[in-house]
Amino acid sequence: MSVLIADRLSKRYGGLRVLDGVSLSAEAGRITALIGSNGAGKTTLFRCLAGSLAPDSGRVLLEGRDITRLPADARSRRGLIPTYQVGSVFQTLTVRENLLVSAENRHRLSPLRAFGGPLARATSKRVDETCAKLGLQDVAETPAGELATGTLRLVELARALVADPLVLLLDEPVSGLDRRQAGSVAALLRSLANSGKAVLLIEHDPHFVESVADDVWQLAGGTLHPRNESVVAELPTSAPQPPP
Amino acid sequence: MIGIDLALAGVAIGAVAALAGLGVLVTYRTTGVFNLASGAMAMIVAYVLWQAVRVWHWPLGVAAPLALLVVGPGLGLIAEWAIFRPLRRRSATTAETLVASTGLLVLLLGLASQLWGLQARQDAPAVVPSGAVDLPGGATIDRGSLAQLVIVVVAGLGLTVVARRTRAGLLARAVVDRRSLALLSGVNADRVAAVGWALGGGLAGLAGVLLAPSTQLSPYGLTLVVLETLAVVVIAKLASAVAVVIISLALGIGQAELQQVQLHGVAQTIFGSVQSNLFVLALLAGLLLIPQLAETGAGAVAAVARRPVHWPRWTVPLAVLFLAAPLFFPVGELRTAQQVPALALIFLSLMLLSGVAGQISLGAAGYAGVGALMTAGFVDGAAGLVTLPGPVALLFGAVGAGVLGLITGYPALRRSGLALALTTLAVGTVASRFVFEQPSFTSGLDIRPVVSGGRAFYVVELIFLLLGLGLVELLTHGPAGRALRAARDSPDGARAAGVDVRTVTLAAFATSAGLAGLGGALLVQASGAFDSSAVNPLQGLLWFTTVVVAGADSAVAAILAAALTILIDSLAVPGTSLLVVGILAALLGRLPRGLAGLFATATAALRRQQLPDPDQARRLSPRGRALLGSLGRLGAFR
Repeated sequence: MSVLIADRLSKRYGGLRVLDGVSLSAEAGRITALIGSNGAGKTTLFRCLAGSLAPDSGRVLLEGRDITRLPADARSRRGLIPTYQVGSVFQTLTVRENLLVSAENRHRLSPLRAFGGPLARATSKRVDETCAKLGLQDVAETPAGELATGTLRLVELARALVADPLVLLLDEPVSGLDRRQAGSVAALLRSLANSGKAVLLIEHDPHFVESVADDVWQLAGGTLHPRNESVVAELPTSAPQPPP
Repeated sequence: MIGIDLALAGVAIGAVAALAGLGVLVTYRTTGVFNLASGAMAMIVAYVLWQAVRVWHWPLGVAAPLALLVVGPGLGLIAEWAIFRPLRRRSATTAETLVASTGLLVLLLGLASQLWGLQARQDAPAVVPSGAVDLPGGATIDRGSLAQLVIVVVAGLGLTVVARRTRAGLLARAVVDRRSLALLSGVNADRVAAVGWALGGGLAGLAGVLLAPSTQLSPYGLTLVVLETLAVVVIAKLASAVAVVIISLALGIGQAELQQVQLHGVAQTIFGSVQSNLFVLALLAGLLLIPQLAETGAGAVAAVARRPVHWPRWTVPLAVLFLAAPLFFPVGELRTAQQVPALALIFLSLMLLSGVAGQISLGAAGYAGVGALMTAGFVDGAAGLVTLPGPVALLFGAVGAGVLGLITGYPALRRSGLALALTTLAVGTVASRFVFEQPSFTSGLDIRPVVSGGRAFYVVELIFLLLGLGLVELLTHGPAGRALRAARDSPDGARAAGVDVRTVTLAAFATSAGLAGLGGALLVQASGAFDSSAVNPLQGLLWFTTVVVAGADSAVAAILAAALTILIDSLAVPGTSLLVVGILAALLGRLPRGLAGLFATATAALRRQQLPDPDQARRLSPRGRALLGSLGRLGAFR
């Protein structure tokens, strides 16, 4: 079942048409990957889906409801949760607090809850479980700003997971990670998909896409082409090499 | 109809604004620093000239070149070397350099008030002889104005030619664009910055010296006048020297021409304020209406936003003791102490907004003033307001200021860094000019005490401070505090996590403005009269700098800073606290977390010293080692 549908999205910057009626869907229980060379419009599409950019025309549907006009935070509360390529981790908050922010804002903060009171036990437990699932329990009390890039990507992923997303939107989830870390991210995404989530990722590393995605789409010239055959053979390899 | 004579008179105003603007522009284009202290530099140079001519009786021919060619550029060079170079070397953010420049402003204000006092001097020497010059067509122009016009046109064209056509201009642009790359290509960035600061200081000094005879020479007065001329740099989008000159002259001439328009009654009062505050209005309008300016100098507010310092538990009773002690003072001396909880509330409001939410606000004085006026109105039942009992009036005054905060918080949603700082400063200035300094709002205003008796009032103050503290603590540490800090660290990340960034930011603005309004109302109550100079825009700037210097992210620091500020000013010459805050702000490059950070480092070092030295432990007897081990396990050394 299609949880997230992009319906004929178009976006132009000045004279440049970056998205030209792009339609795409992400299915529950499947990992959908979007590839494309630099400047193909991947990030523009991602931002139109996440809600940080308004398309010129077209619609975005989440579980059949039109969310095109909803801002990013409202989309997130409805279960469409993005993670960004450049660090959007809260640097001065600890890893645990990073996750807490996400867990506490799954529903709009009411003025009453905003002032605190005892943390709901369920929220706290959920945060601890997610930390454990991603192996973050040892750094839970460390300010995120003190962590290495690879760990930060995990924190961002954990922050998305703790809110129990319907659709996980990932912008280059393994950039900056070594092979081993990328492998564990792949395994994690697979288990998420198996548990019924829809995963949509944008990636330029064809090896990673090959290893993890169920459906692969290629964005070129502002339009989308289905690519279910091997992408590795045709795309120039620009994946970051693992450190020796 | 355009009056030629008025237009020519306007040239003088415009020319000085252009000089001050060019000074700020040159420094910005060569170093990336928006020099908010240019007004204070102008004021210092004007004072030096006054001192040399009027006190030491040096001939003007010696004193003027000394002030203009040595003191002005020298001030710029010292500021660059002592304050901004260390910041640049550790790649400080726009916000950090902005705080440093407010610090420099406060430092120079403190210096001037120590050296020359706060009173205004009417006898500033004029460097250009007065007298009229006949123009073709029968009009006359003041010789001084003509000279200023020539200086400005030459300076504007000269700077444009240097920036566009010479190697020096190219190097300057390279350094600002990408300092690290410029350094790799062998550019001496320090020299470029030094030249930029020297020119900036020189031009500011020239503006100050030219302005001083026509306005009054006083530390706050002249600084404010020059500060308003920042409008021209902002509207010129921080880019073109020629645009600065044209906009300045247009505003100057516009202001003079508006004198012709005569209306009646209230309309004339409003129009009169618009006419005399055209530069301030232009600054605000420019910031709100020119979309590109929202991005101006955008940057993380790391200068004020860090992980909170954990204060040792014993500092809390210390703060309580500080605040409770005045209850045992003789009533006569209570008056000074009454300012402490009031100021502490204002500092708390800034701590919430800047330290936690990461928004730079230089307009706190505006909210404080509005809170004070509304409270006074409610106590008195003036201006059609219902009469309310004292403490309720205080709450309503705070709510009024909070509503203003909500409205002025809107622009903040799309602005950050420099643009936000300037917008809040402009809002504070507009509030000051259009409300606090207007006789229709403040004359005949009776500040009736909210409760009778000095001690009772102090107790009311402490109760409100406690309430404010509780509110800030809840907002800082609960889910709302986490959401605020998340939005501060990464707005995109916060939205991705479901945080309604818009609402939490506005809530922070409104709460902060409400607290500042409450503090302002209490401050006015403590002094017994509404004094517009107590809530002038520079005061907001000073408060912001004090909070940053004290450690923007800590409530204890905010309270201690309020107590110390009042203490220093009551023990030493008034204005000494300015000097202290200014010196600390100038050291911010070396003391990045302010006094709170210094304190945290010191206590951490002390604790480390108390830990058993491993070498020493090895020299202990087996029994001693066992004892030490068990103490260690019990956590005695943690």
